[in-house]
Amino acid sequence: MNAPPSLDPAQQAPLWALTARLLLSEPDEELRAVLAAPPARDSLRAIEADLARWLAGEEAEEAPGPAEDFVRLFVAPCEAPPYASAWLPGERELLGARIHDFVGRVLSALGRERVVRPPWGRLPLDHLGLLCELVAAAATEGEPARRRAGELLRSEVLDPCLFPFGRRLRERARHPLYRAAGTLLVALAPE
Amino acid sequence: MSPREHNAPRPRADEENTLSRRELLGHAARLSAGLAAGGLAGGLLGCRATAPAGGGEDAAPLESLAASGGIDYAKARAVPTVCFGCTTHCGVLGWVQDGRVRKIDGNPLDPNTQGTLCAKANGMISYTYYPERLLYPLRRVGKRGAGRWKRIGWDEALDEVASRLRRLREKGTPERFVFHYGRDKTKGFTKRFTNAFGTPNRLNRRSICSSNRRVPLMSFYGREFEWESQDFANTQFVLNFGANPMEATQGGLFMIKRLMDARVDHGARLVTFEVRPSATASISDEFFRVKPASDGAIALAMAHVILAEGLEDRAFWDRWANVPLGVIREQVRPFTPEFAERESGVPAADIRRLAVAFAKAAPRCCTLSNRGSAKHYNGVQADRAIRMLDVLVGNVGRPGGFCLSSLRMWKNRYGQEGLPVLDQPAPHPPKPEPWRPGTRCFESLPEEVRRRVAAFPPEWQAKYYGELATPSEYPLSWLFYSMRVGQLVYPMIRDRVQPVEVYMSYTLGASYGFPEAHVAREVLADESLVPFHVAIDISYSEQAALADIILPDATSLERWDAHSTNCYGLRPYTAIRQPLVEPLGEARPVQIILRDLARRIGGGMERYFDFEDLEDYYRAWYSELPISWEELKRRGVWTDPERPLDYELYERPLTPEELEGTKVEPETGLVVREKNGKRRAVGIVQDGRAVRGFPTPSRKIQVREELFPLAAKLTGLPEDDGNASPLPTYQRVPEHEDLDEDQLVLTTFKWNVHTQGRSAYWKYHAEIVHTNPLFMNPETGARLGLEDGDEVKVTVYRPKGRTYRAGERQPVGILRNRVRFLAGMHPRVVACSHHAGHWEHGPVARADARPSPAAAGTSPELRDPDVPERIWWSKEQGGPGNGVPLNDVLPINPAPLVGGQNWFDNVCTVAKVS
Repeated sequence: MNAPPSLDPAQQAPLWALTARLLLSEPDEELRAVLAAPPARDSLRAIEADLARWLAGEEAEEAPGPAEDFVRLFVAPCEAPPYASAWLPGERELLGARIHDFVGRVLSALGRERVVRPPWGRLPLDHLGLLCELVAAAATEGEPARRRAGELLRSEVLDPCLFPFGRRLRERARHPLYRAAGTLLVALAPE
Repeated sequence: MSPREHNAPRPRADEENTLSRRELLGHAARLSAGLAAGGLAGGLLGCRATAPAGGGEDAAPLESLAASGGIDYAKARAVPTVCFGCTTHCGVLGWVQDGRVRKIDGNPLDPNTQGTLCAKANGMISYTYYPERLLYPLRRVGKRGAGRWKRIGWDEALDEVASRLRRLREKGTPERFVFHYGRDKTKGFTKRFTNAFGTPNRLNRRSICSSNRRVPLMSFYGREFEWESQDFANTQFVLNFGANPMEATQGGLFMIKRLMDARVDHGARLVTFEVRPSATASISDEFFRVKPASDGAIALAMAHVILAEGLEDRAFWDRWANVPLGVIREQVRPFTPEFAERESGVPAADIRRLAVAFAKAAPRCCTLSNRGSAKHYNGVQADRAIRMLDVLVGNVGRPGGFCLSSLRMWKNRYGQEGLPVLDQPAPHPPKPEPWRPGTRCFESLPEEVRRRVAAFPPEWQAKYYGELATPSEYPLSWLFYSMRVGQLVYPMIRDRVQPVEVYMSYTLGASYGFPEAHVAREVLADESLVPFHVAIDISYSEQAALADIILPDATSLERWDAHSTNCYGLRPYTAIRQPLVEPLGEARPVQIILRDLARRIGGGMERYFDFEDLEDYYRAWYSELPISWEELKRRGVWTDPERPLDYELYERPLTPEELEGTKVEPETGLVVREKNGKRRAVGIVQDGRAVRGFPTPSRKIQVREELFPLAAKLTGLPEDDGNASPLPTYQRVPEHEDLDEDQLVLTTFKWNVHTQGRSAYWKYHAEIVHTNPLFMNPETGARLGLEDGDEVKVTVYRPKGRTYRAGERQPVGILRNRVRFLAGMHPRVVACSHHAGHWEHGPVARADARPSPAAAGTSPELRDPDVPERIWWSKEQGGPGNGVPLNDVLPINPAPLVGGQNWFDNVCTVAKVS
């Protein structure tokens, strides 16, 4: 695993928590407030200059809002499918069976279970938002076995998806928030 | 988005951000710190903690990803269910492990499949787990069709749909709700909903598929027999008129399994007449490459030979045909083998030889036909001519012959004696009232329609429900069976023949798969024509893209259904579909969606949906079975192994119970029962014995069917059109009469790994077949100055017979495609499969991929050397792409009286793109 040079896994946890939030649900005012606070705001504006207006609470009239772009990208028509089975190179089993098993064991190792309730319902186990959430959770665990589970999840499943998924997200996103997310994910991909 | 727009090059986003990776990572570090300071914590989104730190001792060991997946047969359990890969209903076993379906096998207990399986079955795994599946209810937020959606909850979605539907009932216009399905295997559940609601407009796509082949069969043998069950296992000789059970025919797996066994076990012979080298043609003992739409001429010529040679089964004909043999002798007299040779290209000597061989093999011989012969302007009569061959040689219902298994086990079916009755749980909602003259609905119809329907016999009027459901120009599409004329629905809505306020499409791909599919798209995009469109589907289809609300359906691996279909083992059986896993995301089975809508709509509708869950509902269906519900779930199927095979059902004597209250008509020998002033024949006296006969009005095989000339007269079809003939006949397809030298016939076909337009997104199936080049005989190519692989322009013209917009001179459309030379093609035919060229259904169907270098951190053993990139056939990867949307340029062309789409009559020209 090639981590950003200045970040250890625990320090990365907020980034993965943010990614999970962005992939699992539509951005709301609460999220915007967190992102609009310095220094997060300054970093985001540096990554994606077009985010400034949104962070300032302004919406471009002609562009889709972030909630609409969330659906377009991740739900339907699903321009950037947020599922590891769509991006993991060389996935040979029928549509993510290995990922399903592997993530199931990571969940178990972390003492967690999938939430089954609206609005996500029975979230597929290869959902990248779920994986990011698990990586974030594992990074702050005190128990070495759990931290190791998170690292294995990242290196085996998440890392190989970051480049192709991040690039697709950057290409297809219309809202700057998701372009920024795509740019970040590409940068976080191991070299 | 139109196909043209889809095919246009997409603007590429900048590949690289202006910041370096190092700079980006620096910003990421500061962002992360900022988020931590800002209090963004890992929320309770996708998972929750269940065990404190240090727990999890029971957890499975955490191995690498490469060591995961597959099936551990010690842990997996096999659950029987029913395939939904096509319309054939094969019994299958789904292997489930850790809450996931891993593998599909055949169910050896299924008497139809006998444990075999085709490639399409594993499509169920593909469409259940593919990453672009619809998982959440959606509401449109932009212009309809613009692809802008908002995720909403089920309550919001159902409340909105229910309120619109409730308003229609409150206004007294329930017929303005149209339910249009593509593949409905809920066994009447959707009909329960539309009947309870009060609309007759439950439309389907049978005219797209099978109506031209069902009407000939039903007109011969009665409406109970919408599908035949040849005794392939025991046959000796099969004449196949253009059917392709190796790849696509409904029941194809049942047929081909037995036919291949018969060929190996006792040397059965298969002779195929086809325009192209289909998989079935390719494995046949003899394959005759015929001119399109000439099957009827061949069949009539064979009848001519059989009669000329005295090889007919005179006793059978006299006993069971409804017309004297002399009449048929006269009818087939002009159709000599030499005539058929001129029409078809099959040498007269071969026609004679095969006719004799067929007749001498009787009764262990049978005909086989499906869309290849039937989907033509002359197809209904062609199939009637083919069906007549079986009657002539007396193989009907006999071992090795053309059998008719008691169809299904539903209530009040022919030949059902001694079987448990399967039926929906009570109460049953009443059917809507017919649109008789004088009723509000009838009087709202255009004058021309009212005049036509007013002249119909009362028994026809009793089945008339308006133009969308029962188009009056095509009465044979609804007099036998509710087949509708789906391809005319959108033109009728466009022309405001009947107003529609709420349109609900369910697993329907009309916007892609119907002929002139752009008409469907134009109508669905127009809110003045369709004010509200709800789509229920599992995939973001071209149809769903034009909805206002999308409701995500559970897949066939996630729900219950009841099944009973004709059995080629000639013993009735039933099978259940049961959920192997819970629905993903927020998807729900369509039955639950409709139940919850009914409860919200109220007004009495809800009382028909008073069940807790689908298992309760379907358990009630099977309450009469002699095995327990749990046993049925374990086995997946039930049949009575002691029951005699369904040979010669027509000779079975009527039981004392069946004879009770009947009388015999001395002139006809018919055993009739009168009830509520209606007379119905239930059997016939033969040799002094009251037997069942066939479920037709005459209780005989209706080789002569007066409905054809009557329907022609009442709809204005000239009596000299072959479609008006009461006896099987042959006429050329009008637009094929005088083909110019440069004109060809464009035919379509299906592949063995695809099912219409609904499978292009099945990942592994798409890897096998993902595009649809134009197949052409090399000699034809040379004549046109083409080389294999050339890009060509295909121009398709309107038909000339009595059909929709016939005779208009401008082309229906122009398509660009690549030619592929194939030596077995008829030189006047080009063939293009019709499953490709999607612009929705996700990246696999669209072949929408960009090259990406393999990401670091991937284990080398995870690489698949055969798949250097995921969608390797995409144009971006240097592949052929996903093909062309053929259906847009094929004309809407319903056959006269019946309405089945004449898919294989299209006239086109092909020219090289310079």
